[in-house]
Amino acid sequence: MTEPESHDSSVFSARGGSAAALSIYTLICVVLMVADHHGSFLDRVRSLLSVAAQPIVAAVHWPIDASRATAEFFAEREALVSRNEELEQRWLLARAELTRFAALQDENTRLRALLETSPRLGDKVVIAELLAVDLDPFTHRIMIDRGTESDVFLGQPIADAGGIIGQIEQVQPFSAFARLITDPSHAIPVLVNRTGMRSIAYGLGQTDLLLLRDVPRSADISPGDLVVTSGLGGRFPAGFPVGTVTELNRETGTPFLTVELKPSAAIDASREVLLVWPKDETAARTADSRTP
Amino acid sequence: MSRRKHQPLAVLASILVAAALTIVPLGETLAWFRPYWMALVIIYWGIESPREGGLATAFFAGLLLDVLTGTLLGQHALSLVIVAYIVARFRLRIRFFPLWQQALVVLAILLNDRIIEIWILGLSGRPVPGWQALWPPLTAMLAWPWVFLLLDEARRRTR
Repeated sequence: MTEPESHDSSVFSARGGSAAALSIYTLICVVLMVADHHGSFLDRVRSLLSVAAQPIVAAVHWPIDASRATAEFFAEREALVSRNEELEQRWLLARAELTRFAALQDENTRLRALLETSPRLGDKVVIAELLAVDLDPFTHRIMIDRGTESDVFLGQPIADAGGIIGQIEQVQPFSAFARLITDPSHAIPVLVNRTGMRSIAYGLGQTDLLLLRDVPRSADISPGDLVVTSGLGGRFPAGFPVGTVTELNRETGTPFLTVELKPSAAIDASREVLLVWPKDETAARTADSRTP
Repeated sequence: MSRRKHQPLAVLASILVAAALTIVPLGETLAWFRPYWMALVIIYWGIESPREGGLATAFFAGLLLDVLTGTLLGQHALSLVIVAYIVARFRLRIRFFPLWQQALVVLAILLNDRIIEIWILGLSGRPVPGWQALWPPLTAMLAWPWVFLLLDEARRRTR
């Protein structure tokens, strides 16, 4: 019984294992990769394929999401009540802060009008949910549940309550991939809030660490300083927290410091993120016609 | 033959399951050890049913992974096509190996795959993984006997 079958399939194995087929497929793959790497001709193909693959993402995401929801549903009433109280208190505090902030905002616009610069406030923000899927652990990327259908665009900054998390790297109709600021290939233009010194914060592949390289030794910077986006480059809106300085390293032999930052955002803990549409969105879009 | 009728279905189902397993969240530490499930499935079908487990199947399964994980379109496709080719080339030998020896073959194939992957990442200027990249082939080797028995059982039931 097995004899004829193995004989029969050995023909197929010879066909399936032919070097010609391998070279054809390799060629196709290489062409695809080069096209994908160098341009955006494949975006439509990718969009179509991603919609087809969406059910798999949903199948992975929904059970996890549902189990969280049921856990919340069956949470103790007391715990809920105390949490509610706590949140209400925090909301009161936040509201008090906000009224003060509103006054400051008015003052800021007035002063800016005096200086004849454009007011830069009022970025549009929408909440997106993180899809509960793992991507390659070697890169720091996340997948969110909004895409071109919600007007998400390439290079769009995303943040959480604490600060900047990353930027959109790939957009599909109903989902998008974002690269986090802690990814080893990511860099973000920043300034030190206290002194206004500009620099660039690099990711290192660790969720709790960012690095400012080549800071002059004479620079006025010390642990605890808040570092915010500078808005240079036009991709990230100015003034979003990026991290706080934790350590200054003087390396012997170079005239520079390397400064370690702790990201302000809860990079590996947030389940929801804020998609930010900067006020001067057109500038951001044109700055981002090139992929990161 | 009618008894082969359901085979494509089993192949498709196993590919979808492998795709889902590829993105199931495992937490930060466990994620380093995630075996390359899709390669295991492709290797299995390459050994047992070369009609369905050929280069074309590997190619499309790879494209699916590329879209799911947002890698370069064609990256996983190339890696799986090469895996399928190696399996097809040595199929008649691998097929009659005992399971533990097959597991060693799986390790060798996946280490080779890692080298190709690092080469592609390097060429396209993306960050190259460190030594942790060697864990997934090892866990895949350990997972192989179980994957093999499971898929064998599934195949027997569906036909």
